[in-house]
Amino acid sequence: MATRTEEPMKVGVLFSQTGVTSVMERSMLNATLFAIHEVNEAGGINGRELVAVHYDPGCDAVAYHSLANRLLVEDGVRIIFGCYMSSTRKAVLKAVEHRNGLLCYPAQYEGFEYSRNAIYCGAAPNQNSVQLGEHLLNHIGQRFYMVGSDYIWPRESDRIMNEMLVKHGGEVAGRGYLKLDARRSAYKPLVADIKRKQPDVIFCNFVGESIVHFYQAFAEAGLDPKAMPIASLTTSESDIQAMGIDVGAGHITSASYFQSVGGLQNERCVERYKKRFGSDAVTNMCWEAAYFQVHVVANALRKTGTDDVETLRPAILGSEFDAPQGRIRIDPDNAHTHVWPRVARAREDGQFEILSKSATAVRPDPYLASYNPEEWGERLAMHSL
Amino acid sequence: MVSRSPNVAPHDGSAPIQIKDIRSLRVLLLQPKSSEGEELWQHLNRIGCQVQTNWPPPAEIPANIDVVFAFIRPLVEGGITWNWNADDPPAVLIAIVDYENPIIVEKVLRLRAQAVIGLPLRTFGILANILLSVNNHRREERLRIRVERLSAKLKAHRDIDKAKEILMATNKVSEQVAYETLREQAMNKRTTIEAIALAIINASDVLKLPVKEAVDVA
Repeated sequence: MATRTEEPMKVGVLFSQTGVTSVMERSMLNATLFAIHEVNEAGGINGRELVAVHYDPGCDAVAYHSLANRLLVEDGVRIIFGCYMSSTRKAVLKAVEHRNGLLCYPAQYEGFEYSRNAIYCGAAPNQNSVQLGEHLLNHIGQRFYMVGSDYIWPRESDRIMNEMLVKHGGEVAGRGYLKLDARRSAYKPLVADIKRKQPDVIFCNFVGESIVHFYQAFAEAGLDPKAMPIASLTTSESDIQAMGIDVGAGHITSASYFQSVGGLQNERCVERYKKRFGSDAVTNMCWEAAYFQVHVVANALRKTGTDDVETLRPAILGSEFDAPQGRIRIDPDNAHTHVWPRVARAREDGQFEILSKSATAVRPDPYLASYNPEEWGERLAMHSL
Repeated sequence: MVSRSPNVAPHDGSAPIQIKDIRSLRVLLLQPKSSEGEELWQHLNRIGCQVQTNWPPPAEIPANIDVVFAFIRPLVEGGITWNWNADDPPAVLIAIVDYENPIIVEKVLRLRAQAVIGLPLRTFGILANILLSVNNHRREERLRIRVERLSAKLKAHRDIDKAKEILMATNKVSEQVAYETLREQAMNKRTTIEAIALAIINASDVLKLPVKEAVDVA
């Protein structure tokens, strides 16, 4: 046990303020600092102030790795809140596994991972892809066009959706992948091909700036979301703000949180956030996970009094928290989070209208490799609203 | 992309396994009580395998087990006799080792493990190792069956040739007629030509019928 001390307790924060996914990561950074502020306002960690040591890795995986090492070695930090893209998570994981730190990861990702040195607060595919697949196949159509940024998460996300689609008797009308740093002009030929193929829906796994480029190119080509919506697991309130709310309206996103989910916990939280970051500030799925994971860790820190990973992590596992999305729980077996899946459509005001939501928090199953549409009814229990 | 092998039963030893089949695999974990063993047990459950654990190793591996994980050092140090049939293994064997010294490595080689997992345990890679070794095991099984079949066929051909030689020498007939004789006999007795050929060869030993040495070259 740590001795009684008034010394501040340092935690590392690695979200990018510059680079391709900085729109989302800035929002995650703000959520983290906002939650740390709340923890301190409530007396810190048993009287000790929680202090964030933040670096900007600029969306570069190599920088994520070296900055994680710097946090662990030079700054003496044990806990790191951070990462958005899988490549950056893998880079930080290498550092925390080597130096026995703890990465708290607040983004939806492709699953198939477990580390003694990580907790996962975003949705696994069984908590967002399946629900989206069910909604699209039952309410929108059977011909999909798959697009995305060319790295592992979009490819895996495509694979999962493709499997559900094929089992459901649907078909892939076309497929287009672009590099993360593709220029705006690269999206035009892709949208032209979509226009030619006329799919029922576009399953979109673009991330960061690519989201803005793609949705704008889609709108500029005169394509109508009512006839042919874009469906995504990443496009959030922040991206819609960045692309223009008129451009985003009508498109579909599946996530465990939207700013519009309602509930007292969420409304109060959003209000406090706006008071601090301005009335036009918006929240989103990764913002929310970045926010609640700080509180989950803070609760465990209060209980154990130490950031030693061997002591702290067991206190995090199995713990629960009233998050803006609903009551979440860190699964004691796989260290992923029980979350509340929702499918929603972007409104004219840049917020989302919830189309369906799960009746319960869904247990994370990060090693689930195969999805069966026949089991949907029983397993998903999604309630249309 | 349509999946090419839908819902393969785990015990159909011939079909290649896919990642979606992993939850049908039955795993036996051979380990004394230790924290590393506990962690491996947890991770196998996390992946979704059906896991049972046992120590010391049972005299016989239950028939429904697909994969055996065995901690090697306790096998060596405990002086435990484990009758693992490496020539015709009842399941896939994955060795768990914390030493890489000759005694341990030789034990792993003697047991003919299909994969090795090192300690301290890193959960990363276990899933891939399971799938890889199950596939290698099944391919080996397929090849073994094929070799057995080919060997039997080869032997049958040799026996028929030998029987024909005997008939040609004793009955003074052509190869064609000798073969026809074998075929007719097989038809009449409702058996295979190979069986008739073997009967003639066996009889020839007793009757000291002439056999050309040249045919006998195996």
